[in-house]
Amino acid sequence: MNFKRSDTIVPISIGLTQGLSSAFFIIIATRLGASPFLIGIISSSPYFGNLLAPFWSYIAQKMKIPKTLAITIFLDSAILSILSFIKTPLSFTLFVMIYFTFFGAWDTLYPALIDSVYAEFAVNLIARFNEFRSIVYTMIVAFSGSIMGLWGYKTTFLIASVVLFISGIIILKSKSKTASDNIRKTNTVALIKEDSGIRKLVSIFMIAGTGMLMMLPAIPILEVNLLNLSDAKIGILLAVNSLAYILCMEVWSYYVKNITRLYTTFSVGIVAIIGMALIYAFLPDYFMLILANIFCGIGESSLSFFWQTFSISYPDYRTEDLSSLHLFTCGIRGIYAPLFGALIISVFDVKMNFLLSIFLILISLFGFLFKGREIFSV
Amino acid sequence: MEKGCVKELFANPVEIKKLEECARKILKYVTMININGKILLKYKGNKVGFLIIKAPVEEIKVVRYWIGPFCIKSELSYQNKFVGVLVIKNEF
Repeated sequence: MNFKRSDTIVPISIGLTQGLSSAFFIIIATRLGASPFLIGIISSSPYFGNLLAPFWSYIAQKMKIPKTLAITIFLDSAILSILSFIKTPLSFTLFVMIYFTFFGAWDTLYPALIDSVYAEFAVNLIARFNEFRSIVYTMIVAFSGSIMGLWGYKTTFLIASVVLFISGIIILKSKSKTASDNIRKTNTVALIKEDSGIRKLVSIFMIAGTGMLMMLPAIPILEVNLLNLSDAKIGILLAVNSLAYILCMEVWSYYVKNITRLYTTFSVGIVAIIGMALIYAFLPDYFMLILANIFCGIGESSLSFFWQTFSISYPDYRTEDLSSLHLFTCGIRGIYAPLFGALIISVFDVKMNFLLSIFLILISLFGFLFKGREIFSV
Repeated sequence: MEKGCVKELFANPVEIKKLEECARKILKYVTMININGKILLKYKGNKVGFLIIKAPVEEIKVVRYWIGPFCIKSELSYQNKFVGVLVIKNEF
């Protein structure tokens, strides 16, 4: 394999961009005075981008992967520059939506690009690149809040815009050899219809995911409007969350050696998310929020690890089909759950949002304990 | 069943040629059950994969693989077309 070191620049750039800009979109919108509904829309935007995967696959077949990906990255770089000058919540929300619409191309086409260049080595390479991206994100997000505190978000957004532009140039220079198999279409709905085990698992993930994602608008409202936390402090919380995620992914890969341990991992993750929601609901103090974000990282990592391992271990379907199913169902719940959360905040309050989340996540835990363990049975 | 190849697979970094040889060995030992045109592969009563057509085992190739914590999932091809999936578990 002729591995080009310059190929690592792209995931590193994306990690930098996320840490310097998109991680703070929701926080900045809240500071600009966005309503819970607008905050809900911003929270949903990345998931809307995920749902556009088939569209980006179609465009890439017409224009070639590197060109399509580079164009969307250049457009996102321009949008970041525009966002750095916006001061009204409505316009900010609108441009964030456009940003994530284009960013959806990254999730679909970047694995396809690596696949076309590195063929059978691609799967492991994509996982490694994703680790680089996460590590860089964790390091930069810890400091970008402080930079924003000193020079405002205009500075970090403009830096992110330049970094993103450079990664676009590198992608444009990539030479993909063949049309990738990675962008083959999958009938995810048929997959749910024909397999009762998958149906059960998707239902459990939908309920747990709804509970988790409906908290998205409540978190910045609590941190910014109720606790008056600075960007620097929020940056630390984001970094702690991401660090816990990275470390736990390593821990799970050492711990999980059979199906029983995989089930334990899922249950531990769900309990950690409930712990996080309880802290946000009843003990909203900065140092407790650090603990809550550790719990959040543990929970997110366990659910990701569970689905990743499930996709590899489940013998009835291709790994990619099961990953696409996860991405699709995440996209669905990612659109309605934050908006539902915003509605609960508007009608009741932030605390009620967290309590309802806990209720839904508990239902999914019981569903998993009583029904979910049959998934791998013959 | 020839277990040596499975032990070797999980003990060393995966090489596609060795994985392919091992997959072929395992395919010779699995029970194939045809259910509505999809051939289920079973080993010791447990599902370990499927084939969409009955291809000659010696000509089946591994085109892609995913390494999990306790198994390796291989995507199988025959005459450059996807034909199925085989999950090789560390407990085989």
